[in-house]
Amino acid sequence: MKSVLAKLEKRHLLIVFEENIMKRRIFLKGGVLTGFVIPYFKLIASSSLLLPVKLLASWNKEAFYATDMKTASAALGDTTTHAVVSEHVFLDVKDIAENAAVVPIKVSTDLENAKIIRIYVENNPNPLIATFKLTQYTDNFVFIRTKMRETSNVIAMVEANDQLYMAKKQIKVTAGGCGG
Amino acid sequence: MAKKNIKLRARLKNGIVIVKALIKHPMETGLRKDKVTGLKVPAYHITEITCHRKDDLVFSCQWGPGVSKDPFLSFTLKSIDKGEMLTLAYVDNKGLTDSLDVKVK
Amino acid sequence: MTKNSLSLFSLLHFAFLTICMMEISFAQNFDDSEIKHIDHPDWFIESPFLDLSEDLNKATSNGKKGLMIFFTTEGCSYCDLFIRLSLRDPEVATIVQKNFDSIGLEIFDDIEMTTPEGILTSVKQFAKKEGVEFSPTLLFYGKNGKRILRLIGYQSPERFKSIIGYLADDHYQSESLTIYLSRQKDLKQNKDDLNNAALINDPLFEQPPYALDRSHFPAYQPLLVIFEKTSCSECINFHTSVLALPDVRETLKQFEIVQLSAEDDKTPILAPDGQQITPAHWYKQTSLSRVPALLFFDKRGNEVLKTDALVLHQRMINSLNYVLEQAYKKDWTYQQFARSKAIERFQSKQ
Repeated sequence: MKSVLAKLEKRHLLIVFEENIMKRRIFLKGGVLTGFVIPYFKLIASSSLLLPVKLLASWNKEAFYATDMKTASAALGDTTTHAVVSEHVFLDVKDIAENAAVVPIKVSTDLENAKIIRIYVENNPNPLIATFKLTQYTDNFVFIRTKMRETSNVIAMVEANDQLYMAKKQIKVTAGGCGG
Repeated sequence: MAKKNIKLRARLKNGIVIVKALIKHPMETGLRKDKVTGLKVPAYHITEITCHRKDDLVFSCQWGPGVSKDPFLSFTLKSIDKGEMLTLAYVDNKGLTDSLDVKVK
Repeated sequence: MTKNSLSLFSLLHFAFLTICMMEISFAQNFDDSEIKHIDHPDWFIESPFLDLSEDLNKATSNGKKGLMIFFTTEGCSYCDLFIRLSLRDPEVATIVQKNFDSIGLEIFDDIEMTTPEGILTSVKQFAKKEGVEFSPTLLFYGKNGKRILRLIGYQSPERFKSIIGYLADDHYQSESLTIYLSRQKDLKQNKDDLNNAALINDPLFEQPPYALDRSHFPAYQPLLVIFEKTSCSECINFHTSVLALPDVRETLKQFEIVQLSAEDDKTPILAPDGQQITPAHWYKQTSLSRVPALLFFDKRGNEVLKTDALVLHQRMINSLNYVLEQAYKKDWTYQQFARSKAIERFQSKQ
């Protein structure tokens, strides 16, 4: 497993290198760990400071700013054409969104070895909404609120056992204001 | 101390911890036009959120600009006890960060 | 008096009343089809997780009466008016904050919340269950999550201040809002100004005697009953600004329309459900507290919509169509129907 748990004391700052350095290093108190690709890291700040931190190399700009789902998922390394519709992926949404700025989406799964959950809103200008990393501590339920531009399919994808499973539902968006 | 942008709660029920977070953030997509200037408001949104229990990363997610303004996030955790501390942190595309600790109730 | 001089007299009477009306607050006349962005006052409290039962406990432990929940819907011009004229009034803001913690909610939001009684639901479902009808609707909750008042429609600053007093001084525990308000001197119309103005007649109205019983045989048209009072500026305004409009009048032709005086406790009439009653007694049964009050009944005499909220052009058209299109059969609230019409208008412009 390539993940590394950085042991850092809470009150020390984590220094992140420039964007063009693909591997990040963490300095330990009195030691150095180098050469590991760290997908996620712990942000440590004294609780009252807002620290400017360089943009993360691991945030997939290409995927999140892609304007269609196919490009987004390709940029993530997924081949969505091989995703299997599964009743083990639970996508809980209302079929009509009357407030398109705030559309609740719940996704959960009981698939064994589920590693990642992804949420797409197909017709949004940027269809990839979020990706969630599951751990031994997660109970595999996520809940967020998304913006929707127009009526669209919402797709939840779960990566488990090197296979993609999905669920899809359509949400109708109504717009028009109060009316008197 | 600066006012926190994060509201956080963690409740233990039937062995599962339900974490709910609300973060004040404009979540600009970069596509919206300012009504006065007519110019596009630059993209400004959260990119990553992590949750730690001590040094263990228990949950993380990455977001695009499609998540709603002043976003809500909820997720569930297991093997976490009452009284334990969780730390939620986020970073946005400008590199600004914030974090908050919460005790599991 | 000859027929000509009688109609001239009515015309002069009408003109006189219109002139009086121009002096009365212009707030009662605005384009209610305009889409207004809703901005809640900044003294409203933050409730990030919408746990109203927690918020209520906090409010009462801080010595307040409870919570004021303000339901609006995005685009609602009546809500915007209420915010601008009433909620932003410094005196109103002070007495509301003293007695209640206030939270603003959007009627059609699907986001989750916990009710004052501690039940997990969505904002939309909560609004429906609590009978949130014409926006704005205000719900007041006291200790133990009990709802102590529901206020529907626009409220003027003076009326709203009185209502807060009704709640803050615990009058709600012993008398109805209608009775309390009738005792408030500063709310009474200055009768001298309006010269004891009688109810304005209208050729669209049925003439007495009123036999409105539809309980045995269905009628040909739905029924609209309008309750008014003498020396009532809002009633006069309703006639001049709403009933006078061509499209309103055209739609009203599909209704049987009866005008009654809420003060008339003498004239016996037959109500749609077959009961023999006086208009005053009937008005009392409605639990409405303002005039003009509109009650709509279907062909079988079932009450399908009622309101004493401020109703201007767009709202009147929507209300009439709500009844004509039988939107109540789909279990739609008035606000849901109005919204669907706005969507239709929006889409036809695309």
